[in-house]
Amino acid sequence: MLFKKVLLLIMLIWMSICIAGCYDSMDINSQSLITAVALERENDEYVFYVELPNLMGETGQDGSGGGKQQYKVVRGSGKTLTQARQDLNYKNDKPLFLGTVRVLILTQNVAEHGIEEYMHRMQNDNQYRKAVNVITTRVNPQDLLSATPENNVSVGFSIEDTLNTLENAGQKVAHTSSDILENLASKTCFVLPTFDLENAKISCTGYTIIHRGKYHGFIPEDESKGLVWLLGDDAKWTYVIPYKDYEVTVEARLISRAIKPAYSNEKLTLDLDFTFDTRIMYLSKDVGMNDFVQEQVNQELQNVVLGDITDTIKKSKQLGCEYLGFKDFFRISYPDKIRHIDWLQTYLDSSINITVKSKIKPGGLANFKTYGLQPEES
Amino acid sequence: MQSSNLRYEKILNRINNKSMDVSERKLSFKSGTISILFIKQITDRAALSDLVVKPLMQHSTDTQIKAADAIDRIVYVDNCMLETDDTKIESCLLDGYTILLFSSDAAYVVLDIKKVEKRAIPEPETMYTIRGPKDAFIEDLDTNLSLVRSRLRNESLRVDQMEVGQRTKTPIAVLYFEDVANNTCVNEIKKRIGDIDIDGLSSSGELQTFLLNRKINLFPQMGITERADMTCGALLEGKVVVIMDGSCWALIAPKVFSEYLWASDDFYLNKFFGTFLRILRVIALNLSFIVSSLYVAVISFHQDVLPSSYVISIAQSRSQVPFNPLIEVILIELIAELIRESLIRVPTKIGTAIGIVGAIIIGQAAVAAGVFSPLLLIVVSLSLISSFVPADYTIIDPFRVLKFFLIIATGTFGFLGFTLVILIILANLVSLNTFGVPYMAPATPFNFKDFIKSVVYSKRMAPKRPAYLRTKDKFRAKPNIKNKSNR
Repeated sequence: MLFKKVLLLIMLIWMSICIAGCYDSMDINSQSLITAVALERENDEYVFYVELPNLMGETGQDGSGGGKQQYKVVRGSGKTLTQARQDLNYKNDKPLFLGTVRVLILTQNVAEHGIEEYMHRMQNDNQYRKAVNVITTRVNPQDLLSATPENNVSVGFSIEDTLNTLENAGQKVAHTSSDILENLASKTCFVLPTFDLENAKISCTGYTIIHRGKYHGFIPEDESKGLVWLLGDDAKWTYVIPYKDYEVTVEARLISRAIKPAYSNEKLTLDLDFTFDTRIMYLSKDVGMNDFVQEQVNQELQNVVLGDITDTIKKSKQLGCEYLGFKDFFRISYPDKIRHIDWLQTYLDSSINITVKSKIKPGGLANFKTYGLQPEES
Repeated sequence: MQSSNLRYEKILNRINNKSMDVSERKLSFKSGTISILFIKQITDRAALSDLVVKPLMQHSTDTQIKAADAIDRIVYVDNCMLETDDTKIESCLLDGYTILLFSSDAAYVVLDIKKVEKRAIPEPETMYTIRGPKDAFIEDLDTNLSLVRSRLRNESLRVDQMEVGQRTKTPIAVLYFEDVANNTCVNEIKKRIGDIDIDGLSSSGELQTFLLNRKINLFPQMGITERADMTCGALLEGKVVVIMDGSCWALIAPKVFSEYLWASDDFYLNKFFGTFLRILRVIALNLSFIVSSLYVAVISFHQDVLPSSYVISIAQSRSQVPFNPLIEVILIELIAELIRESLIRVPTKIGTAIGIVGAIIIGQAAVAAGVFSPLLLIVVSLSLISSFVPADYTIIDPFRVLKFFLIIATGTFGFLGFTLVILIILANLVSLNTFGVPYMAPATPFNFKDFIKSVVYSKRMAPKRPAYLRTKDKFRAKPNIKNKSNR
């Protein structure tokens, strides 16, 4: 009996040693924690830029780590991704830990060359979290990572926070690495947010279109409202609607988005239905508001939103790339057809019907519609 | 007459030769001599003078006084016996009885006027309660029994008196409700007490080791309590209580794992608050056991489970720590155990000073010197504070020891080692039983009603006694069939 117990104990310990073991152990402070990785392509070489917090830096006297954090940027280059990574390893005294990466920055050069290789490399790297935000940039990554964010945190955290804030506000479409891998696997076009430097400050400047794993075009931020209406969750934008000699500021929030593909006679028709909640926020003149004016503004807003969406779809057709997510809806409705058709050509030949409905919601100035009532408008 | 006299002299010589520290008061009359034998340290000497010596002298006449006459007409002591067996005299004296030996009579009188110094009924020191009664047991068995009997006025309460120890002859009382407690459990306990073959026992802790069914066992299988109300509560549940003279702790059996997390206040307070406290104690027990190991696992092996910003913050705080997390945690846990142990063993005033010094050394100086990371201090403090939360401290003791095994296993094998040790402990726990009752009941074997009652309890919600105790009387409140049918 005792022999069996001892044997069991020895087996447990032996299995533990075989499966895990002390060699897995790596103290948290014995590693170089990376907060942002940027990949550039210069002179036919891959160049990695990584942002590292200076752990031994300005900590408090009591070792509490409450002092100002400082970050440094390390560069590594090589003909291949492996060589570039090796070069990076040579320049770091501690092993690199990718579990703390908040953002992966791909430059336009890399995007033009193709992002698939690195994304697949990332997929197989167990250290990477699969929910790392991926963005593109058109500036030198060294400059981007060296910029000091407003709140003095790392660039990686700053970009992630900006993306999260904008996404939560319904004004941004962001993708994590796992989304991108999924899109690459299904050969679907997609967009990546682009962050550049404007007056030495990091700023979101638009979207980079990735088609077949490569750069395909750029959508500036001021032309991206329609994109967010089509792709964003809980999208919300504020519009300024001119009315007579003043302007009405209106907030529109997406309530529902229905995309119904109909395919017959090798012809695709997409019916897009958008429903919004609208809230009148401000008037540029203190002239008051009534039902008539509200309805007028609402009608105008519908036209503006319709224009944004139509422009976005037009641009997508002009660029010859479907990055608006229609393919998924088509695949769900016609799982057999998608295998046999040229989706891109079908999309480019398709006709699209867009319906926009909006409803003034109580709140904002709508609650005070009798204030300053103008008789000629009632 | 002559033979009685001769026998009397022989007995006195025999006792004097044994150097038993026996005092003798001799009263001589014309008709004969009466010797009063007693051990003065355990005899109420005021009572001896007033109730024995004085009346004997007042009744001194020329006529002979027989032992039976002394009991019937002379001494005022309420508890006295007439004995004739000379061999019992020594044991009676050692038990604290006073002996009246008559030169003119073959019989002698045994008087119960013993008095052992004892303290007043104290407040419970270890099992403090907010709303519960404030009387606790002392080292005197009779006083302890009086505290229980005064609460349980029921004829089926049995108090079986036993004696343990060849030399100490320590009285032990086994208490149970005859019509409630499980017979097997009662008989087993009485059998185990009867089987104890030792020269002496000085505390209930020693007695407990003889009553357990395994010699090597970390986990407590008998509850202890210093509170009379908890003792009564256990008896009403259908348990058996063992109270030993010379110990202020009563032993309760059987006691399952979940009951160690109950406090008497759970029953006295609002049931929702009581439930909250029980859940809190479960969390505290887990925290005290695993939090240090989790720290080691996360810092050494599995940094990915932490949010990135926190990883950086921890790495910064550990940047100057010279030890790896395993050594760091073991060191600080040892220091915490040292402080805890020293605080228990020293007087309260010195204990406060030790607490302050310990806090300053560990909390301030060690962090400033870069010996430990600030997060680890929080972790170990949390572990230490949590260990004080469970109501019965005996359940924490095994976890205090096992914690070090868990830390070492986690530091060596990461979460795998952590899981292995936890599984081994769980396997051990579910294999235990306490006087025939599965130790992890009502979770294993699972009984839904008892399980719910072990978390949410009020006497209103629990008219039935726990099924795992297998009591004779299943109901605390008799089921009201009439009311049920009206519902």
